[in-house]
Amino acid sequence: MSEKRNSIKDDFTLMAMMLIPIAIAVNIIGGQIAVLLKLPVYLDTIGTLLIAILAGPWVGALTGLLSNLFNSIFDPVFIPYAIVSVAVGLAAGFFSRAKLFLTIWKTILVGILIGLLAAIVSAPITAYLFGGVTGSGSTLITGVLMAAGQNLIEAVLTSSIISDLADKTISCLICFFIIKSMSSRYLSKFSLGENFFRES
Amino acid sequence: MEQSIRQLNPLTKLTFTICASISVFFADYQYALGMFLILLMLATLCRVVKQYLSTLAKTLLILILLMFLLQALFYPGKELIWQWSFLSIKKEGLLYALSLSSKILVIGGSILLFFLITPVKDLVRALEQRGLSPTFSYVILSTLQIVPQMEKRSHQIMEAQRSRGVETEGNLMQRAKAFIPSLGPLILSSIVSTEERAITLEARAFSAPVKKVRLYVVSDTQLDRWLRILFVVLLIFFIIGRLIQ
Repeated sequence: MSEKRNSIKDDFTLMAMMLIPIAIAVNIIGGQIAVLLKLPVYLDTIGTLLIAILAGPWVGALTGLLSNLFNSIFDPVFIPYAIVSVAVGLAAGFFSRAKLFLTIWKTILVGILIGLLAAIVSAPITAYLFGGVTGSGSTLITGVLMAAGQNLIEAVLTSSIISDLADKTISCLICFFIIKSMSSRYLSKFSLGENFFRES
Repeated sequence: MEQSIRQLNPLTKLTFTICASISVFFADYQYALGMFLILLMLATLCRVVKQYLSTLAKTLLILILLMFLLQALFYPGKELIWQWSFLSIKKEGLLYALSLSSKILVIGGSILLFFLITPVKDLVRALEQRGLSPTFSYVILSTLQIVPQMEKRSHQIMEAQRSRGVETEGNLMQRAKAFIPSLGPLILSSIVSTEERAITLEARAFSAPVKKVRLYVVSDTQLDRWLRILFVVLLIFFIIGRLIQ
């Protein structure tokens, strides 16, 4: 079979659309479990990453956007960060199209890149809209850096990189292992699922 | 009064929220605080004021307090108000924090108020009447249903895994190893049930390209249309007025 170019319509199958609510729920629940287990990472984008890897960048971007909008019903802080989720979804989808989630080492590399992207996009929002405060531990790091003399955007960028790098890399690895345990029957229902068929 | 506000078309309420949020960027903190008082008044009229304040306290208050601390102490400025060894509070920092937090209060507060007085079902229905595809409305509405369901399932799965010996307490490595056994089964079983749901929808002609009759309709009255125009016009005049000054 020849390689066909992925069109947007191919990505948005009914199956992919129906996975979006699940991905949003996974984002929320992943975050809750991380808090429950008192882990030092957020793990609140696993759903977005997973659906982006399976169904492409546009579905991933839409899921990221809707996930933030949904969270904002209970906490309006999430709305400006929607653009970060969209960027993460797009990046993961494009990396997946480039078949970069097929081995552990490539997944780690991609995770680092996505982490950097998330930090760079979210830092201006945190710095200029929220005065450097995120309500999580990274604010402490920001405070320490500012006390040491860094200005606001530098401090926020550094603390964002520290927290997002580990978070996104671990999240990508979790997606890697989950996809590994999906059977071909379900993988085949997503536009990029073919890439993950196991040679049996 | 409460009924007439709640019965407005969701898009009207949304227009108000967006216009109010944009307007704070063109004025000082006194205007923003005044706008917040208007929001509080609307919340009282709609009898959601207790829930409004408690949610605001849980989400925005801590953010604002921390931000005050951070900016008051570290914002570069010259007018010192208070000093203690190496810590100093500067007037510029306080003013900056005040202006930023008043904006956050209005933007966050108006979004929160919007969601408190608008059922998501109405919002989705109003959007659908304007052309949103039914698949999208399904996605939004089913998210609202599915998230609490999956939260319950995830508790059940964690309990089951605990009874199988998965350690959820202890040092970091032990707790980290508990993550995938907690989330993995949830994701995999959800994907399986998604396929079933897709088949169910198709069996009910969900994607069939035929005209469908709606059971639930949201009204869009003349008052709604005038209010929307009013909000936008007020915003434009306000912006022009501030820019001229």
